[in-house]
Amino acid sequence: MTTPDAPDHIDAATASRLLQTASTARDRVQSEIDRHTEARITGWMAAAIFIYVLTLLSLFTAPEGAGSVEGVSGISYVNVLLFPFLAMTQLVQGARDGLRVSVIGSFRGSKSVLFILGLVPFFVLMVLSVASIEYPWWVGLLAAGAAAAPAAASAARSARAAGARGVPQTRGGPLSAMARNVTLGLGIAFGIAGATTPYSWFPVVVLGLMLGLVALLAGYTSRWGLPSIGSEWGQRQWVSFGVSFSLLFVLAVVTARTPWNGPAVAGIAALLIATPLVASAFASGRRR
Amino acid sequence: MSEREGGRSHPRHQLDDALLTPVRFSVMAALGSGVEIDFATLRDLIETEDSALSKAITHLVGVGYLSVRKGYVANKPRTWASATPTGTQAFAVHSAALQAIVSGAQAEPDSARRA
Repeated sequence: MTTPDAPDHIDAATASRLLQTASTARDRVQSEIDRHTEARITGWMAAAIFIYVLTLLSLFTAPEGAGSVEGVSGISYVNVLLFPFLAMTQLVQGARDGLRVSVIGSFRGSKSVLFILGLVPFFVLMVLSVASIEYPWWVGLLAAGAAAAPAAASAARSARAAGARGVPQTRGGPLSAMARNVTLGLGIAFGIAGATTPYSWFPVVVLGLMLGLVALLAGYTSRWGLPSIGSEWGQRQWVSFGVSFSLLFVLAVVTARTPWNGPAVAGIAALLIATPLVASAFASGRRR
Repeated sequence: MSEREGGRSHPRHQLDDALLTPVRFSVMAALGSGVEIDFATLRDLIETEDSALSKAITHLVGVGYLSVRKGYVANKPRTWASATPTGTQAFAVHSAALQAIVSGAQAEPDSARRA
């Protein structure tokens, strides 16, 4: 977009002033980036990716007939994991949206190649699992580590850039009615997903939850979209989500690999899964 | 050698029409380092007013230099802007032209002294 009739009024003094303006703008933007929060958000994403990949591999390698539900293979529980993982990515977007300046493009260019390369071991192990070829358990750990490594490296870079700068303080306050209701809904949905795991008809329930999630994803720019809800969450809600998320994943593995998950165990597990999020809906969040 | 390289070699010919106003130039400078900034923060950072920033963003979106995203934070509507790869490239070319103008002006007195 080069001008054919370039203006003559940009002399050296004006050009120098404009360049100085650009430099000042860049410095101001850099000073506004909250590296501590960026590091925490990306670090938790790395942890979630690690848990997700490890759990997926664990489900794929579950021996036939070893699970708690007769005739249901480990692969059938994949949707139980997809629901909280997709919800998390949207909520994390909300946490980023709450920052005054957020760094984007973490996975552009060469970094996107590294991100894809990090997933290669995971896909190889998936193929091996489908072909019923066994591999040592620690290889799964390495594959999960490789998948999470780019995000973990990005978090480490942000933490290093944050240096000794103080952590910005945010005021606490009650969640809005919308955020409270959606947080409650998420807790209950996680609980229902957990409670139905020992039944052969649980995929139907999970399908219903997935449809609900699709509606939430479709409205991601709205007031009730998950990014908007995530932007209001404070430490209490994030820790609760992490606990519910991890427990649901553990329950999926237990159901796929052991005969222990009967209705009573699933009922107690569902309560343990739902309670942190439900309780956090009434706790203070982050207000701006 | 092309006409531009040969007949129109002065760096001012590399300046970009879309970046000739101070507000548009400042917006691209602020967003050029791979960041996304919400409207109110951007307004404060470049010290301008809502209407001027709004016009600048509309123009830069029109020429494909910015992308805009809308959403809510804490139940309040927000708009975020970020530079597109085309915009980042255009800003780099424009900045290089400005730098060349400054360098050219510094070189002229030196050559005059040598003559």
